[in-house]
Amino acid sequence: MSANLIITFLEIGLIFGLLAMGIYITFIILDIPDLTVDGSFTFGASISAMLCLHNLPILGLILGFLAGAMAGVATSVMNTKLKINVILAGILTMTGLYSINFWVTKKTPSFSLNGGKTIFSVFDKYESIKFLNSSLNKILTLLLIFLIVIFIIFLLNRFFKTRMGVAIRATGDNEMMINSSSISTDLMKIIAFAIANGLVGLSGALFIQRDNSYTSSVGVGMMVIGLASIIIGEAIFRRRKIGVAMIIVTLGAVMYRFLYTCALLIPRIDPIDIKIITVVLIVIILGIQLLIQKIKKRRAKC
Amino acid sequence: MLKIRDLKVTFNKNTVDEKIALNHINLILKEGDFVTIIGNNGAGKSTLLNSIFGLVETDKGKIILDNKNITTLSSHKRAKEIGMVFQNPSYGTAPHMTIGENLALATMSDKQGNPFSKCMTKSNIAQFKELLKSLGLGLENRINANVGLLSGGQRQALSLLMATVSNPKLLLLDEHTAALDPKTATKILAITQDIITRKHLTTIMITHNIDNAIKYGNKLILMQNGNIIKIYENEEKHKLSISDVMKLYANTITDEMILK
Repeated sequence: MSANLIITFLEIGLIFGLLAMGIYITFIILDIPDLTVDGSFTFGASISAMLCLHNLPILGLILGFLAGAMAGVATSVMNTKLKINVILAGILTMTGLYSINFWVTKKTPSFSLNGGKTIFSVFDKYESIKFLNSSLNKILTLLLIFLIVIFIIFLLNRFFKTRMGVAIRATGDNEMMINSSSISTDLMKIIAFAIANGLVGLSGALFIQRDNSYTSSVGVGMMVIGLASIIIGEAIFRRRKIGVAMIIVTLGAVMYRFLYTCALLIPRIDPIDIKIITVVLIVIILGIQLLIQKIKKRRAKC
Repeated sequence: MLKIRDLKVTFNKNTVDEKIALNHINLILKEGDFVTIIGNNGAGKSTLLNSIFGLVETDKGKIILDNKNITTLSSHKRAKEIGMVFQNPSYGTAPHMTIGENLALATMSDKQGNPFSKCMTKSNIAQFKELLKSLGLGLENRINANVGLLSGGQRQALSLLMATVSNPKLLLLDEHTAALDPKTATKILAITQDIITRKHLTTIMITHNIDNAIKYGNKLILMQNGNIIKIYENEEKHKLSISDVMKLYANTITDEMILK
């Protein structure tokens, strides 16, 4: 594996780490499946892409987060206030976003960001400088992504120890108890969905800036990638306290990207095959986990 | 204090399974009253408590707490003034969170502070340790342990503490010792009595144990088929014996049989 390949999988892995953290909040902490993800990822991406073309990449990341958060609020309000099944609510938001994303990009399905600026554009001038078998600008790009992810992990860890964060965790742990302790579970769910999809939107916003191009299908299958990251992370590191959970799912995302890159190195496998490989991988890992549990139980009985 | 007027609850309305769970219940509690409720399964005891707490929708009637009509208020809003402990120890606590965090959740409504402030501050921890000490179960040394690791009795004691920590106007206990072994149940009841006396709480407790129903509280209510059929107060209640109550049970059943 060449240095460039390693840098690429680390970069994309870390960006998907943000996505995985978002999905972790809804799927694991709230214990609610949220299917908005594919839509909110693209929503963050499209907003970010348009702002890059206007030379406002940092605003692109911020609005990318907010766009995702809005999508999350939409799903969660449908679910909690209109009592629509959460899976259906997620699909509705995702489907609606398909049109909205085309409005955002003025009906262009795919375009390059070369005419504009991304947050990584400032590193372009270092392209000719060689560093660690790669060029300095690539190293700096990786470093910036790393710092953003660390910053988000730090914020989330702080947040989940605040009063609101603890209330959100408890909503997922024992909703009935929270209802009988004068905290609105509906509000907690809406806030958690906003944060989760905000992270997914931010992930999309960052992803297209790194890629320097946008396509309307950029969000397809993100849900599965996020889940795969969580499952891989938890399979390798086991579930721990909330403080390390975010680090674990990020490492899971990097690990997933590593496996993805390895799979692509196998001859006769091309990117189209990756989705089915991912799905089969998830099913196998989940199956193995169940098997291990069963074996452990049987041993305990003996 | 608590006034219940003409309260009616019907389950599965307008279907063949329609069942009148509460049939025009009237009840008035004074401040500091400790009421025990006994009755057969399906008598409407839990439904009464659940409708006071807002977990069951009522068809008719009013529930007034401290001159405030709470009949249509959602349960989490009522929770500011009413604490409830359920039969199942796992209902009242969050298993994957620590004892400290659970207590923090219970006190959260108390201080309407900044939601982004740290949940477990030093002063919080000190306060929680003091509270846990009052239970006498040694939980104050395990404040960072997950609640899922506690026994049913310990969890129930913690639930009780959480339900009463913000000094509610009304405490509802729905057979909160029924899932525990006799020795633990006695201990939890002693803790319950201690908290109620200390905080001077108005309490309604459902129990299947007639002995406890007579021993605790100053009022005893007997329910049957969604009706309150007998209320014993103070003197009258203390004079009751188990056999008296058993006779009453028997009478109501025969009465019903004759009517049918």
